[in-house]
Amino acid sequence: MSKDSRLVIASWIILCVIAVILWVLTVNSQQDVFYTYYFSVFQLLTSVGAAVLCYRTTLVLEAGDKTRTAWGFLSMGLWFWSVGALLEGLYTILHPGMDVPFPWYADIGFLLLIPFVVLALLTFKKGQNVGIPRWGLVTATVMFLCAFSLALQLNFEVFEDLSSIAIIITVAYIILDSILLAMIVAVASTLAGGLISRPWQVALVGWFIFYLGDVSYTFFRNIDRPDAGGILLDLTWPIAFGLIALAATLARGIYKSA
Amino acid sequence: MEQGWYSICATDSLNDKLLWQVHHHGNQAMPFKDIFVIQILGMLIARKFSGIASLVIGNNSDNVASIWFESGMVVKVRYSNFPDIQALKAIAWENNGSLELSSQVFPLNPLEHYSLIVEKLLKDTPISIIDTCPMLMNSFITRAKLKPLKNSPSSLAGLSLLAQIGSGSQLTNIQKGNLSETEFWDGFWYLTCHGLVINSYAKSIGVLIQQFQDSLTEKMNTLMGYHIAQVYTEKLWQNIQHRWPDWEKGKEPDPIYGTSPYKLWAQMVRETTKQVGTQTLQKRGFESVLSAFSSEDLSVINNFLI
Repeated sequence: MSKDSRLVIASWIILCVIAVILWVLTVNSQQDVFYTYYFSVFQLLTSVGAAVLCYRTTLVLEAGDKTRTAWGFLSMGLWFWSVGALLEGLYTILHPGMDVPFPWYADIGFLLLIPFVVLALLTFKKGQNVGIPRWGLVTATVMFLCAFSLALQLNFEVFEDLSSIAIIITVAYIILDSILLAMIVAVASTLAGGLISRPWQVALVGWFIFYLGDVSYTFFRNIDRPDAGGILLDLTWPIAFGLIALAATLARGIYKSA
Repeated sequence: MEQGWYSICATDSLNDKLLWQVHHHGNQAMPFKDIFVIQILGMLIARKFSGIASLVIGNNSDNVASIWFESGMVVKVRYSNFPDIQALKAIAWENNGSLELSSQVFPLNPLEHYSLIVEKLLKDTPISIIDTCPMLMNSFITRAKLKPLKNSPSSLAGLSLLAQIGSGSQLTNIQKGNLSETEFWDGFWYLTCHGLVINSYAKSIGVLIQQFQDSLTEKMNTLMGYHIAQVYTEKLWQNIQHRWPDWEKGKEPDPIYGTSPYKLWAQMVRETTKQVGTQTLQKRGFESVLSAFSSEDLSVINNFLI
């Protein structure tokens, strides 16, 4: 493991530990605003950090290499998400104690991440010049259908309380998250050993955690309990981005030493 | 060389003028390199070939020669408007071009005094002829079926060499024994022209390219996984067979084409890396594998990759 990778792991652990300590100390108290501010900065830092590291990985790859494009897409998606996180953070600071409305402009950034991740995974797969095995295709399809129907079922009851734009955005989250899950499974089925599989395995675990966070948050927000997930839900995005940042540094190390 | 109908007008010493129309299907002109035409001729003699060997000398498609065989005996040699002996002399030491074989039976008598023609040819050939085809020194020599030879200094030198070749030897490793440099090469070319020894690059260049492919596949296995390495190996063989259809998988290519099949193999090893796996890793893996070879081997591989 490279020095960069170790640095990423250490930074993310420290940032997570601080978040947990702040949450424990301020939960259900008047000071929970400190946790909220910290969490906004934490989210922004981790997504921007992951975006920068993904971009840095593209620099060691040959021009025209599809894997370079894949890391570029990941970086671009993370930048969009960072813009969403920045807007949400600013709202939190400008309106202390208030929940960010739904849907809001930040959701555009959050939603745009997934198409770029899907594009990245597709490009990576294409760059490998190997097909998805049949079992991978079948499992991905089943996962998509299960994830989509489960998410739809969970959110369906609250649809009547939502505005039409909120329903559209919720359905967009449900569809995109389900596609993301299916793509994770499909690409995972093509990763059969080899050094270069490791960073992508780490990245896929990261995207899976991101998916869990997204799906859970969509549900909790729609039942008007956005904080119901507690610290565990809050940490899903920073942990996911931490894993993607780690994947980027691992990949960079492999390409450099190949 | 174009496939299909073509006709050859030839002057025959036995008949006045004879028009041979050769109808050939499916035969394909394949390149040959680093093998003298005289060696190709020897190998066709050894395998008792009946038919026409059509050669394009060098890269000039107008520079065509044809050699007729009947049961491993040379019937006629044609090149420009030269008669047999001069035609053979003109093309004997060419080592680059393309070759097309069409099997056919001719009701004609073999060329008389073939051995004498060969002896005359060798007499006029300088030792330095080997310098025009330095790759030949990497070839592996094996004995073909022995047949009666006419008594001559070249045949005696050849017989002495046969003993040294034993079950097979690289050309550079054949002991000269009591033979002088001139006798050695006279004997060697004599054996070659009569199809008594076979030159093959399978045990030298073939082994090297196989090592090259294996190292690269191993590198792919480490970097990109078994799945990629396996797909690469499959695609590599498909690419080779597409360009060299009669090369059977797992077998050595026909030695008659010299290093051409190995050149194709080396080039396909490189080209296939562009079709499978991550481009950057393939490129770096390829360079890393090449750098592990000795400068001598590297120069051979690089020569094939041009």
